[in-house]
Amino acid sequence: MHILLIEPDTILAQLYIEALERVGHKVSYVRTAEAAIHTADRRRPDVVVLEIQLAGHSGVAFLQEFRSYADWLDIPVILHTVVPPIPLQRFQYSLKEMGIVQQLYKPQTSLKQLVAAVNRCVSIQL
Amino acid sequence: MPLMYIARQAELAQKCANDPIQNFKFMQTHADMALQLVDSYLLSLDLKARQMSLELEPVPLSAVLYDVAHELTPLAKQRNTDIELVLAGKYGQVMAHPDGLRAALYGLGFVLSEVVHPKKFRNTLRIAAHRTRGGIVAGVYMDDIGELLRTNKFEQTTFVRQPFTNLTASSGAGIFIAETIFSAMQSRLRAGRFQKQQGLAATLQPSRQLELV
Repeated sequence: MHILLIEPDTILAQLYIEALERVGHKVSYVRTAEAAIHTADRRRPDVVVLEIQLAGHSGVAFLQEFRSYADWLDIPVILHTVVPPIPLQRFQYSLKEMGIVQQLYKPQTSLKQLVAAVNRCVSIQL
Repeated sequence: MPLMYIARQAELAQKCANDPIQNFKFMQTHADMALQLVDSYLLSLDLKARQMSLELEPVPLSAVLYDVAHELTPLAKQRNTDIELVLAGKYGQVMAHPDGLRAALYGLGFVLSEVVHPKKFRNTLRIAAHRTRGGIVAGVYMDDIGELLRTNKFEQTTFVRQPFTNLTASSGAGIFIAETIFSAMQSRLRAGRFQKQQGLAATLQPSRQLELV
C-alpha cells in the first residue's frame, strides 16, 4: 500500500519510513504541505500520515486543500502529531469533518502503534 | 525531539540489529543533544524567571564557534546538512559568558539545521563571525533562505519572531534559548545577513583587554 508521510523532521521520518517499509508498505515522504499535494497528485496515496505542525502551510491548510478534491475525499488521514491531545480536543468535530480517522500523539506513539494504525486503515479499505 | 529520536531508534534497533554500532552512535548523538538542550533550556528559564544577567568575560570567539560547529556536525549529518565555519578575519576575544555563548549558538544551529527548503534536500549551515561598526557579529546562517524570507516580507530590522516560515514549530525551544541567553549577555538576537545568506545572529563587544596587548 502507498503511504504518504508528511513529516517536517527528516530524522524521525527516516525511522517511520523504515518501520513502514519493513511491513511491506511503499512510502512517499514529504516535508511540506505543498509537496504533499504534488506527491498525492502524482500517485494517489492509500493512507496519509500527517504532522499538523509543518513549516509554511500547516497541516490544517493541507487538509483543507486535500479534502477539496472529490477523488481524495475517501483517503484516510492519520494525525500523527506533537500537539498534545488536550488542545486538540477543542477541534474534535472539525478534525472528524476533515476525515481524520485516528489521532496519535507522537511522543507517546511507538513505531508499532503507528504501523498498526496504518495497517488498520489499509484493512478497512480492503 | 531528540528524546523521540532515541525512543523510536531504540524500538527499531530491537527488531533489527543489523548495525548495532551505528544504532548506538545515533542514540548517543541524540542523547547528548537532548541533555545539552535541556540544560540550556533550564538555564534560560532560570535567567528569565530571575531577570538575571550573565557575567561577561573575555572569550575567544573563534574557539567557541569551532566547538559549536564540531558539536553540531553529527546532528547536521543526520539532517542532510553540511556545516561550514566561516571566520572572516581575526577577532581575538569578545565579552561574553563562555558557556552561555556556546549554548546560544548551539541552540541556533539546532534550529536552522532543520530549515525546510522546498526545493533542496541538502542544505549548508554556516556558523560565522564578522566585524561590524557595532561590534563582532556571531551567528548561524542558512543557504538560500534569503529568497524565502523576502517573499514573506521579512526584513533585517525585525525581531526574530517575525515569520520565519520555513522553520518548523519545534524550533521554538532553540530560539527561546538563544534569545534569553543573548539578552542575559546584554546583547540581542536579531535576524542577520552575511555573505548573501540570512540567519540569526547577535552582536558582541570585543574585549578591551585585548586592545591593550
